Amino acid sequence: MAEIRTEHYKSEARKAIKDRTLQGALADVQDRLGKGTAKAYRELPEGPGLRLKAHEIRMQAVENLDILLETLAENVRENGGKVIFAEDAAAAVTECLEIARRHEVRTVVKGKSMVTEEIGLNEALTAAGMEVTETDLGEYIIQLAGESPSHIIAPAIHKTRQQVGRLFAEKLGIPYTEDPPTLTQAARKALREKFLAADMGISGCNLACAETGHITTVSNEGNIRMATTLPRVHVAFMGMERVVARLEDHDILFRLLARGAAAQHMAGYISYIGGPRQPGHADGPDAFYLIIIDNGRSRILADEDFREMLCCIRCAACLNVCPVYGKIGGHSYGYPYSGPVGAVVTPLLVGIDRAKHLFMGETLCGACKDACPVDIDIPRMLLALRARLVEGDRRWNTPPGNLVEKSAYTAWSLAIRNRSLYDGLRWLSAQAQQLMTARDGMIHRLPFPFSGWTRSRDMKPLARKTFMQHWKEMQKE
Amino acid sequence: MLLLEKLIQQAAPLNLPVIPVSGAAAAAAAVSRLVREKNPEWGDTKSVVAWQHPLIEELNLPDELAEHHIPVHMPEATPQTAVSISGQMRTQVVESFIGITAADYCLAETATLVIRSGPDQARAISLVPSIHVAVIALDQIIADLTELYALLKQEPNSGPNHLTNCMTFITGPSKTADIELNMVHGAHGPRELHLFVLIP
Ligand code: SF4
Repeated sequence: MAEIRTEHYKSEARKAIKDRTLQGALADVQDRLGKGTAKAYRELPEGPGLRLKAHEIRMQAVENLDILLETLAENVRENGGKVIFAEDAAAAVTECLEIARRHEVRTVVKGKSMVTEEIGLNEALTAAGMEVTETDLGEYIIQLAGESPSHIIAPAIHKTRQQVGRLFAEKLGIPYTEDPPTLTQAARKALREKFLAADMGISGCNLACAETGHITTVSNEGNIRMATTLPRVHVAFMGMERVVARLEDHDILFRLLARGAAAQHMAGYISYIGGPRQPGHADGPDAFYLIIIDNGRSRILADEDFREMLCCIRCAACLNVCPVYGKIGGHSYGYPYSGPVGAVVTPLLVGIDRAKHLFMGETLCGACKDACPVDIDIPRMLLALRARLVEGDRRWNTPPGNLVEKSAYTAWSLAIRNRSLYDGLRWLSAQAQQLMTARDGMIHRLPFPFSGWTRSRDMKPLARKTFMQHWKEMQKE
Repeated sequence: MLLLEKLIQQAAPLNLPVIPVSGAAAAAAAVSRLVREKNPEWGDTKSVVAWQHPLIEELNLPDELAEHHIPVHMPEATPQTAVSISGQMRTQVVESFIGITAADYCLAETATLVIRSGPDQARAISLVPSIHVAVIALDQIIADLTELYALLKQEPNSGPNHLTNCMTFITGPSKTADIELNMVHGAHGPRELHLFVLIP
């Protein structure tokens, strides 16, 4: 399992907000990718409404997951591949270690895959004595730096070119430079050696196709093609929701994925991989394994409120428009999935209570829903998560929430239903706040337990006269 | 021809030159010029690796380039080899600075090549060399993904697995934007892609 640091959301966010470089990088990502994606949707011949169609296709697949996964497995086996279902992270990791042992694997090259981050695969393989190299340039940078990804598509977005320059000078022994093409070339050279020598290639899966028995991998760099073409063994990991029924379902989804992820019309490389090298074919791995991971997804599927989240194709478009992600960055979310998608998926995977800050922290502004290529209603699910947190839910091992808060709201609901009680309270607070109002007419500090409200903002005092008082006076005139 | 125009227009912003050529002789001359003009990325010696494919064999490149002392390897599949890519072919692919392939289809809408694996159609040839040259016939250009998926399902002699175990879509040369979102070509795959379209 990946390390879970969701409890540190607030302190990490506070740090991130003060980090000038990070703020610049985040603004840049959102400015370029966020706006680019919106424009790309507008320019679709079918219009942005195509996202609704994509939602339908994904939802249909999710509703028929059992049948689709069976068909997929059957067809991959027919193509000569092996399929393994793993119930949780530990099982998936164990299977991979076993495959590596059977094929006497010493070196591994990896394409970017969020689900392998989720199950903590790299740590396990390294602990078993293997050399694991991340090959996506961004992932490679953060692996060298010993960090974790801060964005689903652009994992090293928090690093400046100067930082990358220093890192490469130290780790790759090249002269310091901050020129992106030169740095890319240095990584290209170092990684080419790794690709050519690796025993095993590991990839994720973007969207499998059940009827033909293929997974698909998508990249712009070509690293995933390298990792799945040159080594002897290819192991692909896929979250169990990442499948569609028919080949033609990919049509709309790939077009939208490219737009959502990178404001492109089409990704640089998309590969359909159905099994190992076919007999008589020129090249490709000798063995192909597909590990399909549940790791909590069945529980999401079983809950009608959250099932929709399984439509997600991890494109990161929602990160690129989220005002919260745009300020606190990916690391604050404390788990591989960040931004709006993380705020819903992470609590569902690691525990609603444990990751409550993530969905409490989002603003419900709705930008994510408009940016999502498959039109997932994230704001609705953020609210549903908040409701579960308060009411508690045994299926999610969540005890009923904060009693103090609950009694406060019960008292409030009593008060606003009783006219004279309400007026009395209003009069009292109007008196009290006169003492707190500063010379500029604003309240800078409220006493406990309301002090949290004024920690980062001022409050306007209540008007001297209420609307009702005004109304009555006007009636008299 | 309309599709070709669309293709050229879509390819331009992707850094993907689409070069229409009439006839095999003209194509051979154009490819040979490219091979002579470009320089290898990893070593000093030039060699080329190409698919055994009717469209490419027609260009007669080994003869065309022999006078310039540039070898053209056209590896054959060796079904008996137990490793993923036979030793000799691997060396040829790794040492060549240009890889020449055909393609199954080309989508005009997005300037995307569709390439399936096959007996003499090594996946590595469109991937490992620094420059990828693709040669297609005019009638291989189709409209878009919708048409592609429809065609794949209808192909008469494609057997039960009409996709083969590896079908790749290639749209432009390899690229990355992982350092401060700066677009750089040539991350891991080919730095350049040149697409020649044979006009009958
Ligand atoms: S929720 Fe939507 S926008 Fe966000 S990563 Fe998933 S598919 Fe992309």
